[in-house]
Amino acid sequence: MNYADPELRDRLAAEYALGALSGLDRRRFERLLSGDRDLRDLVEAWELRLNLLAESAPAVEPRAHVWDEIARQIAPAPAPVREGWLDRLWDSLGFWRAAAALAAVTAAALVCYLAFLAPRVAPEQVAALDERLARIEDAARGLAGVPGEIAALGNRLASLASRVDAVASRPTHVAVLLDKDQRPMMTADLDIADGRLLLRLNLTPPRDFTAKVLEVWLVSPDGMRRSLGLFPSERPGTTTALSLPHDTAEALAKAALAVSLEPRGGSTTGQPSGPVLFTGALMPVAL
Amino acid sequence: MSSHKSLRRSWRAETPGVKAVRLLQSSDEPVVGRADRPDRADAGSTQGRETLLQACARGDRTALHSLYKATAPQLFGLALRMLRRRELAEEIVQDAFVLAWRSAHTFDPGRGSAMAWLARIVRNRCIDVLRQRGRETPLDDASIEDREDPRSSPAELAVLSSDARRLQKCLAELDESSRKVLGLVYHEGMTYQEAAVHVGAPLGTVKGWVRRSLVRLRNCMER
Repeated sequence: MNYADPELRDRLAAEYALGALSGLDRRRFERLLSGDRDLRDLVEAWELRLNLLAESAPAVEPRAHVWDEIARQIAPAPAPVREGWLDRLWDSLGFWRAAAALAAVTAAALVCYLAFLAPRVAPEQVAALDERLARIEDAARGLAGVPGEIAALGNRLASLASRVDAVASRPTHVAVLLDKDQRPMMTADLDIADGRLLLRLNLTPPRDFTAKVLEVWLVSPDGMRRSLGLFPSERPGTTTALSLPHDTAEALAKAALAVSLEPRGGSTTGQPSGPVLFTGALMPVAL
Repeated sequence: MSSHKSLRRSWRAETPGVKAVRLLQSSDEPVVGRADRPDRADAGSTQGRETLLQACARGDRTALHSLYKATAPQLFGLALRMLRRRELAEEIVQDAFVLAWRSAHTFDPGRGSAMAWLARIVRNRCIDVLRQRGRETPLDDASIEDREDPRSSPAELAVLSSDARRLQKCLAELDESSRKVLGLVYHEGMTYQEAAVHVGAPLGTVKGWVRRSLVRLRNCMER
């Protein structure tokens, strides 16, 4: 059994859409889903098909306050204090200036760390590690009948590989993404030359059961937001490498990163639909 | 600003549910409850819901209210049946409509109905809650027995969209055990394990029923 088999993919997509998967199977499938657009489309088609059953669901009137709250949340005028705090912050120039200034200080500290303190990994060491990983991977492929373990091992390998990348790379730009309490939630290293963006989550972001994926956005100085991809986990210490087209990497060097909390599979709107949790502007590394 | 205020006031005046907050138990009452729903008439053409959702994408707030009146009772019924907790189910319906408002422009009527699109948001969130928190209210076997056959009466079928009617016809072609288990997983949000315990069949058998049914349903729908 392997996850590239179309029949298996379709079966898992259907079972996931139905909600029948639970526990480890469900988490494993969600990991696959976060990096696989076609699989997400497959799930969506099944969801739209199965949810025709909702038309036969019993009708029960929700209480009046449900609509009142919806109406309040979609109201166009400035909302009451509790709602829209982050949205307004997002649009506020002052916030961006303050965040950029703070990020500049933190980035400067980070640059010092990278330049003088971080242990350098020799290319030979990386190559040796790479070879050992490849051997482990080969050995894992030989373990027939335990596809789940192979997938899990694959994920561990990817994470290890990106950690190796993290210590071995020489970024051209760095960013520290701060949350509303100015905590450094995430760090980013950008290498313009090969378009690689390395992200590392430092602290646990706030959880919200209705949304469960961190999505990474490029925010250009004119306010345009573009999705760069999903961040694979909410566990601190998780590192991921995104490979960007050259022009995107160039644009990002002069822009900021933002991370929002989205429904699984990512925002369906092409814009952040959930709260923006942390942001930070890219700073050039002068080495 | 003032026009905005009056708009909100008019919403509140029209808010459904003030006239009739249905009791939980009455949610099971089938044909009568469905047929006498006042908003059925204007929402009756399921075509209308697609148009309303598309109007939401253009920023039409009254369209969202009409869509809410037409679909919220069933979406709430769906969530309530899965979660068994009124507050939580209401919270999920509320979040779902706010999200629907913000992402209405991604709705493509060519890919599915507005009701399925909305139900997808609601149900996915219910599943997330059930799978993450576990079931807080135990499954009550007696209340499930009453309603577990997802087949609909002819009177109920008449109010369904053509796609939903086709799905009901395809469901009717399945054997009884498969249909029953599929209903437990879809409507009660049961896992394979829970459904197997409920029907007293081995886990592997239950999985087999569901997997075969899903393939058959799809093939039948595409015919």
